[in-house]
Amino acid sequence: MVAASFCLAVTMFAGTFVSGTHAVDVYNAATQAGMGPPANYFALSPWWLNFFANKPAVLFDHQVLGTLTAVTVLVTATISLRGAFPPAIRDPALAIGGLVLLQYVLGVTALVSQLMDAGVAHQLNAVLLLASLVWLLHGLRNVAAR
Amino acid sequence: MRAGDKLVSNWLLLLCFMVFGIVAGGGHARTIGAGFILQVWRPVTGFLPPSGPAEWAKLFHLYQQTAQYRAHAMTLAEFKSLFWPMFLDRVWGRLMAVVLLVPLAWFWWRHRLSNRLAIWLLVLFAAGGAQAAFGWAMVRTGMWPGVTTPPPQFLAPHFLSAMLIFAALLWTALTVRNPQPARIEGAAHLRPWLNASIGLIFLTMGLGALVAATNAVTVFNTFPTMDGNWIPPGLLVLHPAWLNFLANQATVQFDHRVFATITALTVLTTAVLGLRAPLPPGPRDSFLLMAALVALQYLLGMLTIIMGSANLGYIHELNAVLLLAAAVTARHGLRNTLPGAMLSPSMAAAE
Repeated sequence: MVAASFCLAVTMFAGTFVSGTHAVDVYNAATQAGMGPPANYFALSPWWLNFFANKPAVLFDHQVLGTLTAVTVLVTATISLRGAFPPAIRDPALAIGGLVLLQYVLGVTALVSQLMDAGVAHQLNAVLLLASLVWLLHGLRNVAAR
Repeated sequence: MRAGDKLVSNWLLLLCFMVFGIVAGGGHARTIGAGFILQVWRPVTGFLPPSGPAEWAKLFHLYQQTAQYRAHAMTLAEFKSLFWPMFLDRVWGRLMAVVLLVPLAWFWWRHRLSNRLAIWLLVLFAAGGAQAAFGWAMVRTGMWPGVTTPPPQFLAPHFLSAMLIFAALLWTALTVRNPQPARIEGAAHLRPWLNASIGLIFLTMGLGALVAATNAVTVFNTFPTMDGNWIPPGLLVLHPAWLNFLANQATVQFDHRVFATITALTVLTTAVLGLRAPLPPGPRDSFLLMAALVALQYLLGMLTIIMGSANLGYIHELNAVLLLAAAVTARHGLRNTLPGAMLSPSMAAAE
């Protein structure tokens, strides 16, 4: 659960660089650019600048982190839903599961459509997902191991 | 029939798995363009591979009569490489008949099956035979002038009837495993939602078969719009108008997109309702599985269309079968549900 929240925070942070550099521009359906690791990840110098300003690298980071986060959140949701917990835990678990799926679909949509509106919806949905994770954490603040 | 006969149930589940296998084999044959390659059907002796050069020459000569060959000639070596996948898919079908009939005869003779169940399984066998005959009719359309790929009006019914047989087999296997379902209170409202989900999954799968049959994956490789249009132009350019819903690439892809979205939303809503209901672990897990598979299915569909990849479309097709299985399993788990009390126990006590 804490792992899922941490993953989400890092991915949202990486997402701000995608937005800030307009990194979706590098996506090209014909060449498959923007899908898979970029050929020249460390094009910029000094090397750390690539994490913030190299568009293909920034986009790739966000994709990898987004996928890791989605898997972590889905595992968290599945464990929470299979645990036969009371509604105060079950409902936020459903919310994080549903919102992370929506978030991933919106992310792919924002990339392939290059629609600014889809990117904005993707950003706002990230906030809702974060809120749901806080909601679930709050419901779990007094749990004991079995 | 004994209550909860696990062996019989496992045998029927093996047959379900074999239906999945023949969908994989048939889908592969379609994806590589081998549908018309084998222009003979010997229902019983067809499991024997070609015996020598003379027989290969005969089979190749038959294929050379098809419009597909005339549009795109090939060598004998290319013919053979396409022949084997198609041949194996058909041998798999014959193997399924053996795996159905031999244990059926044994179990029936040992009185391990009720007459009713045995006759029902013979009905499913006949359905499988009809499915094979219909598949053969589809192969024969290769001899029609100008028909270079299996036509949509054959491909989609061939796929949907396979799915009906699959769902019926799965339901039967689960019923044999669990003949007297536990009563579940407060979950009756889920049944119409699951019925709607299963109906929509069937419909969307049929529309997906039309996308495959018309090779519509090659056009409008964008999402969410279709080359910038929410509704693409030229949806009704063919005459008569109904032909567009079978053969117009823009129309069949648009239909599949719209119904896929409606289906995904319906299945997800059903899953949320199911996961909020007081269900025992078995049915609850099938709702979880259904939610995961429908999300994966939508994502696979998006990727298939933006990459324009028929190979990914094939994976998307196989995942659809798994999604259908999850939905049917969820519905089966709820066949003895009751409506919930109007008030929760605590509220009723307060009253």
